[in-house]
Order: sequence, then structure tokens, then C-alpha cells
Amino acid sequence: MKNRYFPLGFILLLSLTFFSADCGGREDDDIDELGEVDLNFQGTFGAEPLVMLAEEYPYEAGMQVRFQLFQFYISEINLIAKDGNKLNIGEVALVNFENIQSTEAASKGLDFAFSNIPAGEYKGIEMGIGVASDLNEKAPSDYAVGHPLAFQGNYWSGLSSYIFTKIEGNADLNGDGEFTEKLTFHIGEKEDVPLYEMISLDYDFTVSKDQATTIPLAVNLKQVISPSSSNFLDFRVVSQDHTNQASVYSLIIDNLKKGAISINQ
Amino acid sequence: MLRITGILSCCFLLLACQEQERIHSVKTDGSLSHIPYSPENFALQEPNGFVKMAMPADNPLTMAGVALGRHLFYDPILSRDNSRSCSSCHLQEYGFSDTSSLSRGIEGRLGKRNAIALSNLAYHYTNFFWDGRAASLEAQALVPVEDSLELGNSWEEVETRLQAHFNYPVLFRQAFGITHTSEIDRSLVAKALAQFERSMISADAKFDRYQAGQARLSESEERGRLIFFDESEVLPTGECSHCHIAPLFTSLEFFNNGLDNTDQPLKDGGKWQVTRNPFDQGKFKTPSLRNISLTAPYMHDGRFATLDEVIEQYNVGGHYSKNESPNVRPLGLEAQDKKDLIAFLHTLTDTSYLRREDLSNPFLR
Repeated sequence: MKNRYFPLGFILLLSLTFFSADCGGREDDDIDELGEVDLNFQGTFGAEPLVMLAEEYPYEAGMQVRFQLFQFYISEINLIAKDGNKLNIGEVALVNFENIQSTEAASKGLDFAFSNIPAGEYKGIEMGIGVASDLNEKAPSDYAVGHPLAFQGNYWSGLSSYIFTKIEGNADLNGDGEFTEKLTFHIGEKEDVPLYEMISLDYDFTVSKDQATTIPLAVNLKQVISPSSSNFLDFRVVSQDHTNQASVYSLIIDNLKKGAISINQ
Repeated sequence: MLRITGILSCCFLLLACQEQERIHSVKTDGSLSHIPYSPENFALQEPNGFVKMAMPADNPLTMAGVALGRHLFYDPILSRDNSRSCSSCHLQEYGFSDTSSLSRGIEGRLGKRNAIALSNLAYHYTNFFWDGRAASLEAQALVPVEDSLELGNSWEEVETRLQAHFNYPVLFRQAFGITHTSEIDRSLVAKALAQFERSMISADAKFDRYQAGQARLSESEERGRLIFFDESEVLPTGECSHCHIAPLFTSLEFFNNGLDNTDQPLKDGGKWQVTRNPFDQGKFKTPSLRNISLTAPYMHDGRFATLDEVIEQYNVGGHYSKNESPNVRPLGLEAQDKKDLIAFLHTLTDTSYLRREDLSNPFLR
């Protein structure tokens, strides 16, 4: 009778052994020590807090801009342990600043909590900007309501792609205070235009048992649409792109992946 | 011999009827425990391509629950003067919408908004009403009874009527397993109504059959489809599908679609009336376009009588407001484009939904 439980116990023990070996070389007795990691995203536009609708920002060439929506997907969220091993903590999340409509809300930012993180020392985080290819092959109908990928509004059935990022707002083209130019940029992935890319950020932190550790992240929207005075989205020329013009969507998505997201010092 | 057999048969029949009546009648003390309670799951067919339904754990669909909700939906017993029911403003032949700009309640009282068309509510996991003031379908169902411009009643009165009714206590017993008539309350009424409304699935329009490869669109419908979904490099973009997203043809979100300039005081602030957030002024829940050809007049206040008027509103880009959706912008649609767009919108009509027996008035059978 005793031997009846042996195979199950052996498999469980084996599983635990492999699990512990894959978690950055932590001691076996640490495996039950779990904490929480919170990703905190704070939006900015240059040095200013990013606030939807309530704030207006000086822009290139005497223009001004005001935002209503800025959102983007992140996926394949991994923590990087001190020994270089990666620990996947999340499949996908939607970072959406739409409801950040005051400086107070902007200072709080957006929080994403990940629990059951093994205690230990870590040296960074990596994440994909957009929706990973295996997830992008799916559609909202594959998910239950409430899942970040269940929202039909972020999916293009025609392109069979999620919309990786959306930026919407208004521009005052000539500095007269009239924000009549409507801005709408939606960037998704076309079959022949892969846009998804991983980014990695160095950050030393410790996860302790039953404690929450915050990784502070800054997202600079100005860096996304106007990285320099010679390289920016000129709203006098283009105010809308739904992944039609390579010069537009490449600028947005490339800048989002390169430098717009950083550790918030 | 034949006569004796006949008399015996009659006796058995009479006894059987009496037994049926005994187990399906309320006892004089209001007890219901003797009535069988064996809830049977209502097998809702989830259409392909839709997201998974948001079914609350505390209100699963049952055959008896849906049937009860159907009776309540069509029964004017909920209104103060027994004149109006949910179905008075949500007419099946019009996609469960109203034909009046502003719906009328008891005594002909004029409401404040157009009755929104009902379909596929099982996928609307939150934000009910044009302004989103109800978080769930159950919460929504509680409101019209006590709205003085709608059913104008009180829940206490409704509960009293239902508890004393000759038939409803049995239906509530079969639906929810209550043991006494006194347990009939507003929350069970709301649950039953929500169950019935969740059973209202519309997914058999020509567009659905086209998506399934079972129907072909005409040339005009196809042009309209390309305009609607912005899928053509040569045709103008309709920008419709930012908010009216297939297959529900709503994003379930709130937008200011440029109907009015919100820098001026609005007669109806929409979502703002719930949140008091100034940036919600003039925002309304995006309605589904399913059965749109039958649900005129259009918008929250029924200001547009025809689809032509609706499309023209969008074609000019609406009225400027700080929070107007940037996706509402001048479209440059020509006359033929508009015709094609309307042709496509007609492919969203689900005639089988309009004729579904199980959604029809049970009192007219």
C-alpha cells in the first residue's frame, strides 16, 4: 500500500528539484520564500508628468500637444536573477495611461503586481514591447473577459494582430491655443513587418519573503514621438496613422522600444 | 365494461390533475417546499469568434431562471399602473429597441433617453446604460422599476404583487429554490431578468454567415465593409471600427463622438452624470450596431432618424470638444461610399433573432 504513493511523490520531488535549479541557483530551502514584485510605470512628457486631457505640452516647431490616450502592451515579462537566469513572472499586460488625468494620479503611476516571486537577488528586468508572436497569433475570442488580450478594441481582425500601442490626442498646430488637429496613431503588426522586440533594463533589487518590491519604471512619451528636434512626428504633415506609413509607425514603435522606457531614478 | 373503463380513466385523470395542482400550487401559508426544485442548466450556445462570456458565479443560467426572466420582461406587473413592461420600450421586432426618440414610461411620461437595443448582453461585463451607471446586468435591472419616467413603481409594491401572485411564486421556486413566497424579492427579480437578457444572443446576421464562409456580400456591401473596417488602401476610411468592433460591434467603452460641443452646457452629460469627471462630459457607451437598420432613431437621444443622418454626422467629423474622440474626424465619404456603408450596415440584421420564439412574449402564445 505504501508504494502506491511512491511514483507521485518521486515526480513531485523531481519537479521541485528542477524548479529550484531553474531559479537562479537559490538554496533549496529558499524555495518556499516568496515575495511580490510591483512594476510601477510613471508616464512623462519630457520632464513633465504625463497627464491626459488636463495638461498641454509644448511641441516642436511652435506646436502644442494634448493627449487623451497612451497605451502599450508588454509581454514575456522576465526578472533577471544575479546569476543571469531568467524568471518569467507575467505573460502580458496592458500599460494604459488613459485614466491618468491629474498630476496626482501621474505621480502614483500604474502598478502591476506579480506575486509568488522567489526571494533572492536580481539584477534586472526584461520585457517585450508589444504582443509576443505566439500570443499575437491568438485573438480576443481566445480569452475570458477581463484578460488584457480579451479586449476587442485592441485587436485588428483584418491584420490578425493586436494593436501594440495607441496614442491619441489633439494638437495646436500654430500656437494659437486651438487644439483642433486630431491625433490618432495605432500601431500593430503586419505580416511582413515584425515590430515586437524585447528590451532589457539593469536594476539591482532584492525580493524578500512576504515583502513587496517595486521596480520603478519611467515612460517618456516625448521620447516616443519626438526624440529630437530633427526627428519628430510633424503633426502638420501627419496626424493619423494606423500602421499604414512605415516612416510613422517605425518612428513610434522604434522609439518606444529604444530609450522611452527606463528605470525611474 | 367500456363504460366502467371510461369512468376509471376519468377518475385517474382527475386525480393526476389534482396531484399536479397540489405540487404546483402555493400552500395557504406561503410555503413552496412541496414544489419540485431541480434546476436544469441553460445551455447557451457561444458563437464562434466572440470573447468568452462573463457569467456571474452567483447567477448561472437555468432553464427555469431564463423562463421566469422572460415572463417578467414582458409583464406590466412591474409598473405602477400595470401598463408598461421592459418590452414596451425594447421591442423584439426592432432588435429590442424603441421606435421613439425618447422612450415613454407610465402615463405617457417622456423619458430622457432612447431605449438602447438589446443583444449579446452576456458579453457586456460592466458599464450598463448609456452612462454606465450600473456595474452589472443585475444592477441595471433594478433601476427602471423605480424610475418615475419609466415603470414608476416601488420595489416594495412589486415584491408584494409577486408574492401574492397566483403563478410567480411557483416560477421563483423552480428558478431559485426558494421555500416561501416571502423570499421573493428585488434581487431575485433582477437575477431572473439578467438571465433572460443573457440568453439574447444575436449572431446570425448575414455578416456572421459571411465571416463563417457561408454567405457572400454584394459588391456594395463589400465596399461598405472595407470602408467600415478601414481595410482598403484606395477607399476612404470610415473609422467606424475603432468603437464598433466586431463581432459585438461595440467596444463597450465610452466616447464623446462629437454630437455636441461640450464647451457649452449639455442637456445630457452622459457618463459625466455618473462620474462628475469633466473629461467624461458628453461621453456615452458605444451602442452595438447589430440590427442597426431596425433600431432607428439613433444616438442616446434619438436625434437622428436615419442612418444617412448618422453617417453624415461622422462624415463632417462631429463638433469639436476637448474630449471628442480623435477618431471622429472628417471622412470625405462620397455619396456612393455612404450608400455602400449603409448596405454593409444592413448585413448586421439578424432576422432569426427578431423571430426567436424563446425571446418572444410568453403571454401571447
